[in-house]
Amino acid sequence: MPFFDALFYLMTPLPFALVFLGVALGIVVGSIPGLTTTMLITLTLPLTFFMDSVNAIMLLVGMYVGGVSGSQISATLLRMPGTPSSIMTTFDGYPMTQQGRAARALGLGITASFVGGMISFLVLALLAPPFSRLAITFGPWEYFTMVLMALVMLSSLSQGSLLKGLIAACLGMLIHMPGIDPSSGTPRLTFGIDAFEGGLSLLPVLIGAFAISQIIKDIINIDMRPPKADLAEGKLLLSLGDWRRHSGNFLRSSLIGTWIGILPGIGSNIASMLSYSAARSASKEPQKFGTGHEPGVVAAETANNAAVGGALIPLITLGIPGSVVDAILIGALIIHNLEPGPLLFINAPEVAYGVIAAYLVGNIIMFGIMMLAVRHIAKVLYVPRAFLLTSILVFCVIGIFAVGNSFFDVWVMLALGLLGFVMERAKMPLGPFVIGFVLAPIAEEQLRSGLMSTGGSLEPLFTRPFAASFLAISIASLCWPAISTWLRKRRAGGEVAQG
Amino acid sequence: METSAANPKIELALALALIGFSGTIFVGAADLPAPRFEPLGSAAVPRMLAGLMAFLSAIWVIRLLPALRQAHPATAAPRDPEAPWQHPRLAVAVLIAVFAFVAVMDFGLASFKVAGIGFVILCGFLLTHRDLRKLPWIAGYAVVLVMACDFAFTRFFYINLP
Repeated sequence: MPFFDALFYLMTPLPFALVFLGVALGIVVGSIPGLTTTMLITLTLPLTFFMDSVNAIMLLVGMYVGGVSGSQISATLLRMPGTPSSIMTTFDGYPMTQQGRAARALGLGITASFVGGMISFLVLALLAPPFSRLAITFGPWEYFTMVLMALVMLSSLSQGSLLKGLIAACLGMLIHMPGIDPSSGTPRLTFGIDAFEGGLSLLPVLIGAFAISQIIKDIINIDMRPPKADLAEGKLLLSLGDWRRHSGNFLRSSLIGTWIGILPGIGSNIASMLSYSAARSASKEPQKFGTGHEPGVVAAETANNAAVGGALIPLITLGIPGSVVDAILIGALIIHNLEPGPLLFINAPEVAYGVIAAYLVGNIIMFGIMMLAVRHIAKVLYVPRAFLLTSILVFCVIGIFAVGNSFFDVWVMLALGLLGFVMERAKMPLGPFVIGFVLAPIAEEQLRSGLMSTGGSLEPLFTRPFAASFLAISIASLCWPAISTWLRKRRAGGEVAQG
Repeated sequence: METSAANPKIELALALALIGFSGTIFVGAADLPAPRFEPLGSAAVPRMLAGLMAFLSAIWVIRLLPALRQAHPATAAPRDPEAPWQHPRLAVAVLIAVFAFVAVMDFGLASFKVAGIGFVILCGFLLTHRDLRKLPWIAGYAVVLVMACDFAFTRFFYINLP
């Protein structure tokens, strides 16, 4: 069984140490507001160049698991979510801290994260191999429509504004266009600049868009001082009664989180929102949500961790990212000369199963570290920002220089950092931009090879069942915001008329 | 209609810049050769994307117009004394320092060790609000950080830093 081979390999000292390190760093970075898992993984990518591909991917998956879990610390103690996936945790976690139940809130959150991760691991391990077998039958039209679906869904659901999301996706795809044309081999959109012939590399774009723009924001708000929270009192471990009381919530939120994670481009923040709403709807005391109610913390933290496992399914089976971090993981596979997609299970099964094994072990390590050390990790929230931000800037510059031994990449990173900052100031989401950049070559290559095979006809878009379904979902995602607004207005109009 | 909490002037500037960028892509794509052995050719996808982005950006501009017309000159709202100050000028100063740090190395004016130590000291000094008492700590940290990075990259990853 390849999965057990990967698991046994992971239990050897070096891979285990890397996953452990990844989870620990993920927790620490995820817990610091202003530093994100995305930033950590993008900054680590240049260092993975010098590692074996399996070890590199295991390290990054460990960071992913740790980052999503660590963000609950600042969400609970400071009402400042370390990552957007923990926004819903602030609703009940922070009121519990104010009521002197910070340790209880963290204990619930840690356990919920662990349960969500384990249930989602089961789904990942069971669904990924058959999904990849199905995906092998996909042709260029299926791939093209799937990329289209991922981009449209991400644009429409990630941050509210469909229009800005679509513009960001187009911009990300356009930024990937300069370079050598993959089909004809001729330079394209280089404007006579030799450095553009190689195109823009993934790392400078990622680090610029996420790390540099975030640092600019953090410097502007450098005087923000987190208040101290008391963690000395209270137990972290849950009792048997707690497990019984929350078991339904654990299961429901895990399934919601995993399902939302599987859908391309949505991510763990939407998963925790939906799961929180579902928990409130199912509760006998919905009015208590938002006042320090335990099921609120459980629902949010179970779902956001479960979404990570769910998002890994399209990543390793189809090469389609479920979130921004997944897009970076796809970038990591490409950097290591691995082709993301269904052939990963055939060409590099040790990597595909390594991701699944690292997710399982990462969750167990996360539970151990958080239970044993969360009281100490919480102190990281108060690290002086001046030293932290300066160090990150130095790492960004030399990390990018080291990858290509070129200052062109460093200038690209700085330019993309400014662009990312302006985009965020204009409330334009960065997720579709980066995923557009990552998926642009796949979309173009598949569209062109599809059209070559049909002599320029678009008919397979409507006659091939999977392609037609993906196209239909894309169109529905485009139309849904307008339809839902119309329905809301109609309902509101009806209520006014009745009143 | 979608609502937005962003500054409409920043949004307008970005939307217009994106329309300009789309135009640049169209100009660049005009020089590309016509398709020879496939229906699309290398110019089609950039043109489609640039056209779509320009169209969507134009819609964005049209949607912004009412907000721009309503925008009154900024009236100074009373500042919450508890709220921390924001430092946009500090961010600009640090960015200039980063650009200078990269330029100095790119043009071969200084090595990573010299430029790095200088950059960390300058950046740390600015970020601690020019507190002279913290300067010795920052200088010590700068030396340790830059030397550690140099050691790790040259001895461990075998990469020659500038």
